[in-house]
Amino acid sequence: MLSNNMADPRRQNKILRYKPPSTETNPTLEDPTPDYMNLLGMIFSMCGLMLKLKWCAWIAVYCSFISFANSRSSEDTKQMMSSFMLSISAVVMSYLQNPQPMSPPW
Amino acid sequence: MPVGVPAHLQNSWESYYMEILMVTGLLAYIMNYIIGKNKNSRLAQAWFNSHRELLESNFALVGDDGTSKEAVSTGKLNQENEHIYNLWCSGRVCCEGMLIQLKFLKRQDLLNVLARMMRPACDQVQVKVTLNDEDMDTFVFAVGTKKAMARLQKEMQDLSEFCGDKPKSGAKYGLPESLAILSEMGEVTDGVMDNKMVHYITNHADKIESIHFSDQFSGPKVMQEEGQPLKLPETKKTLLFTFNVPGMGNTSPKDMDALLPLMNMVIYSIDKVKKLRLNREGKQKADKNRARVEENFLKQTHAQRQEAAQTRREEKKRAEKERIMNEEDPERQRRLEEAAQRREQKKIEKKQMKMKQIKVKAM
Repeated sequence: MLSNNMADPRRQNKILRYKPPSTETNPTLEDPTPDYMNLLGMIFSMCGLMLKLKWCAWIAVYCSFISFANSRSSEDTKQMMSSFMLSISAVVMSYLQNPQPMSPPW
Repeated sequence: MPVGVPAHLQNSWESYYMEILMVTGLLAYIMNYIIGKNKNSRLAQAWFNSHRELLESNFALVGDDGTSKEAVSTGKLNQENEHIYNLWCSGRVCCEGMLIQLKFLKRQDLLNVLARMMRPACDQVQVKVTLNDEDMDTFVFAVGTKKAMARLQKEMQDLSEFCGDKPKSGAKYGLPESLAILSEMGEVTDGVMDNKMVHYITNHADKIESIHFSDQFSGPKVMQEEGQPLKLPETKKTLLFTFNVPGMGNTSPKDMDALLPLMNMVIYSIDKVKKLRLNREGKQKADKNRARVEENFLKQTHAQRQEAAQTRREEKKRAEKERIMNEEDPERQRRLEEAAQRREQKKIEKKQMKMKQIKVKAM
């Protein structure tokens, strides 16, 4: 039986467990996109609801989609869901109050 | 149009073209999300499949998410989100552990896909090896593309403090012109750039963004808040490698095999750094450098620390005075005031004694 001429570098006793890097020490490493988009989405939703602007509501839906696509796995899905629901309700409310089609900005 | 029909029923579907556009856009976004997420997932899996054997033969623990009770290899990547995967390997001589991060492009975000059409970018693999104290001598070194070196020298705490000179061209050491070197001293460069390393780097120069070895690694410079005395940042002996995946975004799973030689280089570097020891002169220089950096830091923050101590003393005095003022019973108030005065007097006497002692010693 040929023995391995290179010693096995593995050491069972030198195992260290994985520690997720703390984001407090390195705030620059965290991607702010999902949080910004979430905030933007909520602002546009509120604008769409209060000012009855359809395009605001649509943009809010896009913002919440973008926020979802960029979100981290560890993030709370409740937040995502609530921002989705808010933006979709903004769209629905705008159309219920005024079923006219949206006019383009030009 | 018939009279008496409500307005919203008069409109035909065609007048809702903006809405149709919006919904189509959303559907496109969702389609891209699914396609992009799957592509990233396949790339990650392809990378792991091609590197699994090498990693399993070098590390006792390959894959850990830190949550299981026993330290058992999960044998799979941790998914941080739809474009970042990581893998923790540990249980090897010469190092504490190795964290590999697969930083793919945000293929799942249509906005990002469109932005990349104007500004191409590539997927990256970042390998961070953390070392124990005995695994590495004291030196700071980096090699990589000229742009990366210029950026790191500005951004990284250790490179800006210990490698102050402009990046040197890699051509001097047999590397391609496109690469530059930042080093604490010539001896370090000569030590790191042996024939095998030069060979590795030259053959894969297109995939190397940066390689950073440091005993003083503490990450990027932290922005100091106004008037807040900072403690010296915590340092860790680290080897940091950033590789660019070939394909500039148009990567296919088989491109992942091209990264395997780079992982071989990482393993080689770990063993090499363990053996690399500075000679006496180099060690003296290195120790002097570290002492100088620490001294500079203390000097810079000295004023801030003095100020902070002064404000703390004033705060204490003010708090005490307030307590005395708020004391309703005049008798107790008087007693507290007297006690405070006595304490002040004692402090002044102590200071005078100290001054006398210093004067006597000076004589």
